[in-house]
Amino acid sequence: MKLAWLAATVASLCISTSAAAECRLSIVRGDSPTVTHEPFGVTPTQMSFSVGVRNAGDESCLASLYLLPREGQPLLSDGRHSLAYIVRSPAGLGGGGELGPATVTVPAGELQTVLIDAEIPAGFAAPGDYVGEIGLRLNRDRDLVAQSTMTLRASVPPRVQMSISGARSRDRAAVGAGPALMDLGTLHDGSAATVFVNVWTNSSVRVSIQSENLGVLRLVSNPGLSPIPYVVHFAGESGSLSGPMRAVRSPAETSDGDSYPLSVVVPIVRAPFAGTYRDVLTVSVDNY
Amino acid sequence: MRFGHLTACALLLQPLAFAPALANSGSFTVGVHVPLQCDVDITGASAIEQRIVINVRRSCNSHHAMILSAVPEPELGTIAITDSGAVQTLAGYETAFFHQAIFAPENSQIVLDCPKADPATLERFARSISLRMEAS
Repeated sequence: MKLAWLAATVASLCISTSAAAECRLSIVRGDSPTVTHEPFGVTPTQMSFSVGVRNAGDESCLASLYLLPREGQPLLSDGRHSLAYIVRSPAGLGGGGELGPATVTVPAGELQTVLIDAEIPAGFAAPGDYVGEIGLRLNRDRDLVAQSTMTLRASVPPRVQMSISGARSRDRAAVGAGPALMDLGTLHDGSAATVFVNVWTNSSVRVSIQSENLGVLRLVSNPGLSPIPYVVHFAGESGSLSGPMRAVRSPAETSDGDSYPLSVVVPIVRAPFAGTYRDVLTVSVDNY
Repeated sequence: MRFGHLTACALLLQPLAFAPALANSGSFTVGVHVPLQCDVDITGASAIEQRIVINVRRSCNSHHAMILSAVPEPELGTIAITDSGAVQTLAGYETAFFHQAIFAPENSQIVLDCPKADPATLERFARSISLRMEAS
């Protein structure tokens, strides 16, 4: 009788032990490529990544995956600046300190991949390499069964954009008919005009100003006749454009940017030939 | 006599805000206009024997023609006219000297030599002379 009871107890334990081993879950970290976030982009930067959930047991089971951004905020950081991201899907992953759960059914002996659809909202950002650790927690029912971490990475390149304002369209009826015109009017000593170079950037810039005629205005009807020299003033610097004028500036690293005045002045007039004189100036702005 | 030509070319077109196109470079044209100005003044004249000398002050900032007009006097014969070293004869009512260079304001002389002349005819002819400049 005692022997029978012992045998039943051992059988019961064996069944219990094998049932507990039938659903064995673990986290397999998936791809987390570095994404590039354009600071002047108008659409969010997609930052999707995947997390694998493996079931080494022999019974299908349901698991809940939670994401835990470090320090409770979904942020990437380069040490000085931060870059927020948002987890959009799968459903169940929302804002807050702990994101989730995403539920996943993992058949016995298989690996299920959970795609996490995250994005960095469109917007200005300082250049740098941003990283952010995110904790992964896998629950079955309410019990923690596995945990791991992933590193999310985003790169923000230095970028610059510019425009020129204050010049006039060459032809009201023909948009894009040619470069805008800075009009000095009728020539006299000290003829001058100013445009503005508007710069948006997330780093320092080098502004380069070049003249097609190397710093002189030439008669349109006969460019070989005596030209009219002029001087350029740009953001506190002056000179001729016999060669490129270059200046390094640090515009406000915000989405508002900065504007710099660019003036052209004809200092002295020496009996020039009648007619229309022109030159073409090109302003280039590069990250420096 | 004064003939001035002031041309106000329509260099400047209608003002219009320049729509900024975002890029990292942009170009614009710098333009200035030098108006056409051609003037000639007769500052003095003399008639001595068979020669008439006209003192002029002129300026012109373009290619131009100096045109001398006069009422013909056949009894004066074929009249040779000298302007800036160039010599032409007066055929009919006028003759033109074409100049490619520009003149800053300067004083110069136009000389008319007549092969034959009696004082009254010469004076009548001299009084009929007029000058004008035409820019091209």
